[in-house]
Amino acid sequence: MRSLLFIPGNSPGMLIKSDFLGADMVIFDLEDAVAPTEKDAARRLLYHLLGAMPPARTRTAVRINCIGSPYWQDDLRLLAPLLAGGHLVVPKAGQASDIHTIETALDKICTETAPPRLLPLIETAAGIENAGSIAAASERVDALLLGGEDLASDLGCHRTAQGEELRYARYRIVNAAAAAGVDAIDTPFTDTTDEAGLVQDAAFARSLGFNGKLVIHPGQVHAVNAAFAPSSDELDAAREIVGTYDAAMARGLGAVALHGKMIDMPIYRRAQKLLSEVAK
Amino acid sequence: MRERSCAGLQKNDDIYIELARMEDTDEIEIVLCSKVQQLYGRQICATLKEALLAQGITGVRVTADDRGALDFVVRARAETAAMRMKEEGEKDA
Repeated sequence: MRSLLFIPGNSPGMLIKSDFLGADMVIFDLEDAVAPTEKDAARRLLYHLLGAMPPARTRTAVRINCIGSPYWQDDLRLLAPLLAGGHLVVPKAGQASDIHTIETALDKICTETAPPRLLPLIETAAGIENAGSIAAASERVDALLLGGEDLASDLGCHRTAQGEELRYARYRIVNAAAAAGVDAIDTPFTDTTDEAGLVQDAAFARSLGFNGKLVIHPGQVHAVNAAFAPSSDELDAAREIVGTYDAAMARGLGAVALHGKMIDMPIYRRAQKLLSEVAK
Repeated sequence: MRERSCAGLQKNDDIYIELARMEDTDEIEIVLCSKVQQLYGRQICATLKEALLAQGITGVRVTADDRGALDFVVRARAETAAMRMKEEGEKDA
């Protein structure tokens, strides 16, 4: 998943267009994008959208309200049965028990359908410190998402275009996700008018090991998809590595060199992973 | 049960619905304003009525300002207005 686009949950116009904006995943938002007085309306709107005309081209997720709010259980009760094969974004995931709480609730609700997969959104200092245990809390977790705005607020610092204040959080999320074998998704770039800044920010995130990026405006999708797509040189190299290594294994060799460099299992697996992601 | 309730927004692709309780009747009276009234007015009214009946709401006047809402939006807004009318508490919602 390269681009995960937030769509306000109470905006019929945006919901209808969401399947045609080029994102790899749309996240229908019931949390920050919906006023407390409209939570019921947004929930019901998503219920009928997912029932009548769910996105056909784009993977679907719903960001529910956070545990502890008066809304999250109603969100789950109404929408989880319609999200078989989809995802739930769990906001402000601070510890593994938050994931267990959601999992237990889903098991009670989704008795006739597969429960949605989980995408914990890490956006508190506690969440960053517990990222490893959150990622490993359930086999339903597919990725860790970093939410930089709330995190900065929790840390008492300001967000900057350069994102220096998030450096530790980014390293930690990437490492925790890799250790648990799930994807790492970077925080949104919130200045929707600064495309050069977005490109730079996404390139930096990819260089750290992030697999994709949260997106808050349809105009950011193309740049983020491009930033996280492997180049043709990278794909050529991956194909050559896989081909060379497979041939060596078939001849009973334990290791093989390519262009003067040793290819070992981690390099082979990385190349395989790249090719399989592109194939998806 | 409240006397009045509303749901939706007066924006493109949405429909704004007001419900007002009427005395001594079980009818659902619908006043619809829509730019696609001629083509879809009957369908919109049918969806409104069906959604309200499913929520057990009768004896109301429905004022609806449609800005091109699809059927699932009409249904969702009607249900929300109905649920808000059924809520306990303040007189209006």
